[in-house]
Amino acid sequence: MRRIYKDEILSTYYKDWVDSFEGKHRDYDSGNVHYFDLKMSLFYCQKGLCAYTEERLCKPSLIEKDKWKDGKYIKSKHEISTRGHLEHFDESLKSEKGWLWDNLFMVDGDINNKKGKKAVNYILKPDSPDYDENKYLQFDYETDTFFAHLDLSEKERDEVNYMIKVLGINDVQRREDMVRELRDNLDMGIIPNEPNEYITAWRMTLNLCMKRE
Amino acid sequence: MKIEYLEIKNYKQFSNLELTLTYPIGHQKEGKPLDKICILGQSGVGKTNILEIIKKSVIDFSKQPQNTYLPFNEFVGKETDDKYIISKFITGNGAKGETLFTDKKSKIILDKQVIVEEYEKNYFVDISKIVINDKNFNKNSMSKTDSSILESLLEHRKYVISRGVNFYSLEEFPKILKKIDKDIEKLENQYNQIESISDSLSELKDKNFIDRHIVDIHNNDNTSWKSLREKIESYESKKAEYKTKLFNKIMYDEKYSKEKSIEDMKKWEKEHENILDKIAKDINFIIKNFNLELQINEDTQSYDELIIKDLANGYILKYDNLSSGTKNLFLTYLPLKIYSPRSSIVKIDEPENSFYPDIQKELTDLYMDVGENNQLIMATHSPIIASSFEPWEVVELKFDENNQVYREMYYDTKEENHVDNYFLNPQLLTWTNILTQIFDLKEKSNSDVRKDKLIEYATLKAKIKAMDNQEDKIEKAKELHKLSKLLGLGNNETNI
Repeated sequence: MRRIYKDEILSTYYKDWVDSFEGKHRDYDSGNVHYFDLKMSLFYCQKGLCAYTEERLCKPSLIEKDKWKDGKYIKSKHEISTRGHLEHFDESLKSEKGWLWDNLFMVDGDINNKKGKKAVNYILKPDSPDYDENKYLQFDYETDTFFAHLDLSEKERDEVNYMIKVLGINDVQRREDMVRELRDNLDMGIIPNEPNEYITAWRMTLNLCMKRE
Repeated sequence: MKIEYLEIKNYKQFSNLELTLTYPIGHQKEGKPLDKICILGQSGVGKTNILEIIKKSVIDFSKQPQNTYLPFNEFVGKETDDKYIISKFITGNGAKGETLFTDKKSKIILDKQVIVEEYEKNYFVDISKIVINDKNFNKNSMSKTDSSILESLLEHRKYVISRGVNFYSLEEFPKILKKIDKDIEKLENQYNQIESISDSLSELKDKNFIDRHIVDIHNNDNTSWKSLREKIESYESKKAEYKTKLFNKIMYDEKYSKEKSIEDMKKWEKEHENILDKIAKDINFIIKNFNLELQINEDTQSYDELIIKDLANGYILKYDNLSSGTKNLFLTYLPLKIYSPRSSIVKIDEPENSFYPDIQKELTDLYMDVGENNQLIMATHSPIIASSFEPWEVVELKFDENNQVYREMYYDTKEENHVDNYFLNPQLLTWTNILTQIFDLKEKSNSDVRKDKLIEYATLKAKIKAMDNQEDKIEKAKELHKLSKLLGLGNNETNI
């Protein structure tokens, strides 16, 4: 799970609309007029990847900045195809602050369904200023498993391991193939190009394999 | 008869589905209709409907006039032209055909005059699911006293449950319930009826070997056993005829020796299949997994005359005492083998029912081997059955984001349909990979416990790697290997 920088909100219409709320937000509703632009705006920050698993949900060509004009995405939702759900990191905020930018991410649909209303710990929140994947996570490429970094305290490790499960960070299939391919390439002396998804797993595997050499 | 193309427009859940059912470019059988087809997909995606559409699309050419055959009436499109079903097929004698059905008209085009052979009529064989209930509890046959005892036991059971653990102790509650259940079972068992052979056979008649348009050996008061007898008699009489011929040759041809006649007889037996031997050989290959062996002879006229030997102790078992799985195998495979369809489409819905994985593995080959020049179409939920199919033989149906059914292709559709362009092949995958890549299971296991253990494993491994002392490493590695075994990881995954 990569650190996500959400400083830039391309959908200015959505931003102005949310900023206009005082206190409780309008009810969250996927039919809302700002919903699609909000999704595309998040995809821009997340580089088209699932915020938690880094699985690709949206083609890179669809998230370029030139797809935006005057704070609106230039195409309608019927013209393009993307995957994923708009997810509330902290479900407990959904009823009062359903449109809160900092609490929203685009994630794979199954991951979103499985996460449900489970309680979250903010130690592993991808856009948190303190979050750094190299500080909090380690990767075991042989079992395709992320786990809490050994340098953390035991309490922190428990919290991180809990969040790894809640966010479904290890619940992806294709990552295993990508990692195997990378290891094969390294074995054969091929210097591989960085993939366009599962980048954290890829980089950590590369580092571990290089160290081993 | 083999189907090679099907297009469905606005019928039931299919708004626009096109299925090419031929071998791809670069295949030995390039362009020919598929010998076997495996239909996969989530419940509700229309697997059974596809089977039904194929069944109804394939009509009996011996029946006239054909243009009055209107099998489809559940179209959902608005425009008349937008509602149709097209199928293309090749008959057993090589004629190409095309059908077009709407709700109001049918059009059947054949590229040449079809001479309908007797066997050609039998071009669709439907092996339906057979659910065998070993026991049927018949309450009506109970005596009055037993009936009232049963009623009071059931009432008492309800009462105990309603009071629950709040009233009884945690230890006491299950014991009481278990005792009541045991009494109920004991009573019911006295009135359980063992399924009879005639029940099985009538079920077989009803559900197997379909249907009025197509194969219907029962309307002629025929049964598979009668058919078997005819085949045996025909074999025996042909054999006797040939024997006489050889005998005459010995008598009148001086150069023809007795040894040569024995040799010729053996050659004849090799060329002419003895159905009894064949059935026993094929089925025994499978039922040896149940520690059973079938001995079938020419006097066998029904299931209860089958001689089934328990290989563990040599006892002969009665058909009635076989397990549901074994009965299911006999009831589907035996009639099919006896009937031995030719140039037919053999449809089997969920062939995996009641079969353990090791048997499922053999089923496709078993059914492919019955009859001659057939097209086997199976709808299944079993990854093991799916693993028997080449990638182009798999029709995986899915819902798209607009809830429309489409076929997932296993090659890049921007490229041509060439064997080299396929990126997914069920025959090359492990069972786990079939589940995740073909059946789209997102996870490798169903359990959070496994996820915890994997994290524990990876953490322990990282800790061992960071240790300096060799002895400590070895000691901890034992723990790791134990975990690895529990998680079913291969040796290659315990490399530290």
